[in-house]
Amino acid sequence: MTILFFVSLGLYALAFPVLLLSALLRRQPLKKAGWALFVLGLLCHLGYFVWRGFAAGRMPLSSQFEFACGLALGLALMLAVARTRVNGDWIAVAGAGATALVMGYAALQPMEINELMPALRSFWFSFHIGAAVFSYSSFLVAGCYALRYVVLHRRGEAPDSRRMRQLEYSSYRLVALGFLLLTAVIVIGAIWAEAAWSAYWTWDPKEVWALITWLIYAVYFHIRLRGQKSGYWLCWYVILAIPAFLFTFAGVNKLIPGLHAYA
Amino acid sequence: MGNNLQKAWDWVRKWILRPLLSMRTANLLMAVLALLCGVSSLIPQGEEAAFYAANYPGKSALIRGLYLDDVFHSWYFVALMGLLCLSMLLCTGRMLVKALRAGKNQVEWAAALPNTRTLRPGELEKLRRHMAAIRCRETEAGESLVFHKNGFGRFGSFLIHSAILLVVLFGIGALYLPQVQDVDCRVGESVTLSDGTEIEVLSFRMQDESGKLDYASEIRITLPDGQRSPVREIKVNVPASFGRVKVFQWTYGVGGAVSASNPVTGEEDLFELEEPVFLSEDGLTGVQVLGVYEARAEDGQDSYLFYQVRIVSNGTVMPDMQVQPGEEIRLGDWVFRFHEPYYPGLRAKIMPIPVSNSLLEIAMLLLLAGLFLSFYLQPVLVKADAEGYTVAGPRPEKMRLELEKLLAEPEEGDKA
Ligand code: HEM
Repeated sequence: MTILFFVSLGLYALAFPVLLLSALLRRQPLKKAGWALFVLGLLCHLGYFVWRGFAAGRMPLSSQFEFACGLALGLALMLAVARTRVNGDWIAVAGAGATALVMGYAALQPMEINELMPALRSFWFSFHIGAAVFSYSSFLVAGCYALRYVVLHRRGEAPDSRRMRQLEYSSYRLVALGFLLLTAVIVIGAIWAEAAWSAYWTWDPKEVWALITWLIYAVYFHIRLRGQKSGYWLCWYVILAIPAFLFTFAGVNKLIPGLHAYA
Repeated sequence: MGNNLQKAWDWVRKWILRPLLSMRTANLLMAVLALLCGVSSLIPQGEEAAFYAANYPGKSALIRGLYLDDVFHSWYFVALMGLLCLSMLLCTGRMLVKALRAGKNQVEWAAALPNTRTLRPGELEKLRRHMAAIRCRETEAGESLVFHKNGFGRFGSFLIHSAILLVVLFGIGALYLPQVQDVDCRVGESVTLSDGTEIEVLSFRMQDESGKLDYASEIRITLPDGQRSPVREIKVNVPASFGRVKVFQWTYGVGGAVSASNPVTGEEDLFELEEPVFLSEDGLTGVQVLGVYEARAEDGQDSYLFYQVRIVSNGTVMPDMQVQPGEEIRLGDWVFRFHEPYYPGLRAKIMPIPVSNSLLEIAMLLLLAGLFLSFYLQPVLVKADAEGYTVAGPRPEKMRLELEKLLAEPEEGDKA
C-alpha cells in the first residue's frame, strides 16, 4: 500500500506544473487537468492515510513521516475547500506546490509503522496532533493567499480593489483559524502533559516553539487591528511567519532534544 | 497640594497608563518574550555550571551572568511577563467598558450614521433579503433600517484577554503550589507522603492484555484523616485523584533489585537498580548488572524479563549473560540473588485545593471560547435606507466585502 503514498506524491508533483502553466497561459482545459491530477492525488493520499491508520491501529500521526503526511493531507483538503470559496488559480498553484514539498519531505523520513510508546497512547493524542495538522495547514494556505496579494501588489494592483481586500481578509481569516487551532493544540497538550508528566508546562523546546509561534501570530492580530500597516505589509508578515511554525513542526525535533523528540 | 497631585496623576497617565494601554507596548513585550524563548532553545537550560564551562568555553560566565542558562526563571523574563500581564489587565478593563458601552443604544447610534455606499433602485430589497438569509434581525429606526446580530460577539476580545490572565494566574499556581513527591514502592508495601497521606501499591504490571508495553499499578490512597479511596488503577497518562492528592505512574522504566549476601559473615545488602552498577567488595571481582530488559519468548507471543549481567573476576570481564529473576550467582563468598523486577516509580502531587487543576482547565476553555467568539461570531451592524448603506461595528470588514460583492457588478479580479 506504500505505493499509494508515492502515487499521490507523484500526482501532486505533476499537478503543480500543470496548474502553473494553466495560470500563466489562462487555459481552462489545463486548469481542469491540473485540478483533476490534484484531486486524484488527494484521493490516493486519503486512501493511504486510512490504510495506515488501520494497519497501525491508531491515528497515523505519530512519527515525523506520519505527521508530515498528515500535514500535506490537511493542506490538500483545505486547498480543496478554499477553492470552492475563492476561485483562485494562483492560490491553487502555490498550495499544490506546498503540498508536493511537504509530501517530498515526508518521503525522506523513515516510514515504518511503530507501536506507540505508552505515553503517546492517550485519548488526547488524535485531538492534539489533528489540531496541529489543521493549524499548520491553515497558516500555510494563509501564506498562499498572502503571496498572491504580494505578487499582485508588485504588479501594481490597487490595494483598495475588492480583490486585494478579499485576498488580505482571506489570509487573515485563515491565520485566525490556524491561531484558534494552535491555541487548542497548546491547551490540549497542556492537559495531556499534566496527565502524563504531572505538569501542564515544562518549557520543553516543542512547547516553547509553539508559544513562540503563538506570540508571533498574536502580534500579527494586534498590528492588523491597529490599522496602521498596509495590506502589503501584513501579507509579508504572514509569509515571513511560516518558518516559525515549520520550525515548531520539524526543526525542533531534528535540532533540539526534548520530551517531544520521539514525535 | 492639589496641583502636585494633579501633576503626579498626569505623570502616571503619560508614562505608565498610556504606554501600558497601548497595543504597541503589548506587541513589543510579546516580541521580546518570543525572542527570549528563541534564545532559550539555543542554549540548553538548567544544566550544571560545569556543563556550560565544558560546552561553551570562554562564554560560560557570560551565559550564567545573563541567566541564559535558565531564561524562564531570570528576573528579566519574569519582569517582562509581569508587565505584559499588567498591560493586559488594564486593556481588558478598557475592553469590558467599551463592549458594555457599545451594547447600549447601538441601533439608534447606527441609524444616525451617514451612508458610506449608495444603493441603486431595488438594491435595498436585495440587501434586506440577504440580511434575512444570514439571520440578521431587522429594526426600523426612523427612515432607516438597522440589521444586527451576534451582539455578544463584542465580548470576544474581553474574554480572550481575561482568560489569558486567568490561565497565567492559575498556571503559576498549578506549576508552583503543589507539593510534588517521587516515591518508590514495592508491590504489597505502602509509602507515607509528607502530609501523612498513605499510598499502598497492590499490584503492578508492565503489559496490557494484548501484550503491549503498558505500565499500570493498582493503588489505594488513604488520606491523613483516615478516608480511604477504592482500589484505583493508574497508568501512564491516567493518574488517580483522591482529595487533594493525585498519583501518577511515574518512572517508565523497569526497576530491578539484587541482594548480595555473604553466608560466611552473615552480611546482606539489597540494591535497588535504576542504572548500571558494579557490585563488588574489592573492585576487582564482582557482578556488573547492566539493566533489566524485556525479550520475546520463542513462541513470539509472550515476553519475559531478564537481567543483563557481566561477571568480572580479578579484573577480567566475562561475556555478557542473561539471568532470570529468581536465579542466583555465587562468586567467591558472595551470593547474588536477582529479585523479580518491579516497577515502583510513583509521583504524588498534593494540590493546594482539590479544584485547582479544574480552575486552570476552565480558564483554558474560556480562552478557546473567547477566540471562537472573536473570530466567528463577530457582531454585524448594518444601517441602510433608500439611498445607501453603511457597515458599522467593531469588525466591519467581512460584512463590507460581503455586501460589496452582493451589490456590485462582478469585478474583473473576482478570480484571485
Ligand atoms: C499573550 C498576549 C495576547 C494575546 C495572545 C492576544 C490576542 C488577541 C487576539 C487574538 C485578539 C483578537 C484579534 C482579532 O479579532 O483580529 C486581540 C485583540 C486585542 N488585544 Fe490582545 N492579546 C494579547 C495581549 C494583549 C495586551 C497586553 C493588550 C494591551 C494593550 C492587548 C490589547 C488588545 C486589544 C485592544 C484588542 C482589540 C480588542 C477589540 O477591539 O475587540 N492584547 N488580542
